[in-house]
Amino acid sequence: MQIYLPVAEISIDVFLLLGLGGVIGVLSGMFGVGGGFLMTPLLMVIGVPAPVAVGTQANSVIATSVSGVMAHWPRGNVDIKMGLVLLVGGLIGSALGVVIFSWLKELGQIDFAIKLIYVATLGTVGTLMLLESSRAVFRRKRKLPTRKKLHKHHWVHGLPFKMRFRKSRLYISALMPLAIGFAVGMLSALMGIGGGFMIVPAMIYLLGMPTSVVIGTSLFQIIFVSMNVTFLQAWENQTVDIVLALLLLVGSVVGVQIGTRLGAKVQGDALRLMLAVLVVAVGINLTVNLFTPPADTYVLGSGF
Amino acid sequence: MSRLATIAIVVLLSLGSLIGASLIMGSLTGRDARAQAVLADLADHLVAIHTGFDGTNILVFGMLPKDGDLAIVVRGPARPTVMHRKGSIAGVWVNTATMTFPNAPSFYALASSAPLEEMVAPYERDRLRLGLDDLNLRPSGRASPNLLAEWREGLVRAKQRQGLYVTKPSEITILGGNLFRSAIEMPSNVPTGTYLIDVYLFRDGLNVAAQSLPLAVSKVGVEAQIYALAHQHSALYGILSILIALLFGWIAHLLFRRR
Repeated sequence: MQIYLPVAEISIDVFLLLGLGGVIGVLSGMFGVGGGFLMTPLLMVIGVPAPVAVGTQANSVIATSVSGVMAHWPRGNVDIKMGLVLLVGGLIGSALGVVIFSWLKELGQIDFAIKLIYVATLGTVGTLMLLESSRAVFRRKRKLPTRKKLHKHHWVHGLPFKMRFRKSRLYISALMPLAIGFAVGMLSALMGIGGGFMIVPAMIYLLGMPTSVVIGTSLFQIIFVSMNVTFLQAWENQTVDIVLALLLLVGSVVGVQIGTRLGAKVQGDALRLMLAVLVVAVGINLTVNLFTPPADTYVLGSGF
Repeated sequence: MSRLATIAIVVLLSLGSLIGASLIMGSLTGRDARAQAVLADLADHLVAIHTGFDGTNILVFGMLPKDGDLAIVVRGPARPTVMHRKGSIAGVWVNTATMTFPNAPSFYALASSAPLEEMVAPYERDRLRLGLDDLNLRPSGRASPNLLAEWREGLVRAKQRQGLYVTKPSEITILGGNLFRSAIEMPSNVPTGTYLIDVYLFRDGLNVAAQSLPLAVSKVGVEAQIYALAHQHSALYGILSILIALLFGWIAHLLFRRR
């Protein structure tokens, strides 16, 4: 059954969209990530124009992160102060991202830029995750003791504007979360994702936040960043397709429930390893795509 | 006095003869035109893009004089169309050049009662812009004639891939010698706007009669409202999209929270 998407201006099969939402939902439920980094490239594969894929995905991220935060809130897993600092950086970064997006669109390089940013971020994050999680799995299998320092000191701790984050048990410079929020916000706006797969590792490894508050806090700030991106994309570029967003959401809401249950049966580090493999696979696929000669060297610019 | 009267009579007489002559000539040309004319109409003057829209057929039908060949051309509204040429930079394929065609038809399809080359003289094809080879697209930028031809062919190929420039001419069925009908396919991604459907009659390779029919392609119902809101009240649309997503997230949470 075909449905006409009013903003994307194409017809796509309803069940394909629901199914796509469902599959991504399962994965995001399993791994605790938004899954935007998979959804946006897949939408482009099924024929949604890249700018619409990006704008619309930002819209559905709002819904998924709201229900995520609502699940984490009662458990006290949200560090609001940290979230707000990340958010300030995120809002500035994402606003800049949307401006860059419009500029690239005018240059006619938006499709290429989106792919390139995907390759760079997925490649970097995927490789890091792969290394970390395989090491963890290896240690668990060998039953090696994990040594952890209680507190590490980097150059980061010498930065000014120190702030105390009680929930995260941190006393660090506010510049660090601000910068992370900014960078992730900008990339999210360009990639049409929440940015969970980038901000979560950054919070754990760069800020040293306890894992328990990371997911809730990142989701908290992702809500507002993606609201900002949705609004700016709708306003600047008219690339938010609400019908497409809702169809994907219906699928993913169901998928997430299945995914969460599946995820509970697998060891944490094994899950991270699987996610890392997935991230790297998508990255490699996009890289190959960049180097593959196009069927026709003359292409239409997207009308968006 | 008598001179004035003569002048008046002369003027009246000449006027009368002029009117008479033009009447006779008018009826003659009128009869002539009727003998040559095609009479065509569309089964539907509106293509409504609704939620379940999955392409459609435009049904053109009518009458033609005994002898003659027919061609039907469907042209979508002219739109500025941006083309890119990809080139390899360090192995990576990037858009390396851009060309805009300010007046490219957004849709083009053709139906003919016989192969175009057999029924239409080449210069008539060119003049009427019949067929994809004779579209005569003019870009806004400058380029050498060779390069220009490449851009043009590239545009036609790209539009063909989207199904918006229809490659294969549709058939025109002629019934009983002077009734015709033709169904021209429109894909689901047709651009909206006012289309012009031209029905041409050819005799000995020359265009002897033509009729133009307008066709509206527009979004209707919810689709149209969403599109209009997104483009005319973008800020409001953005806020609404956010609110809907928030509401959706909340409902999802209520539905599935652990009991």
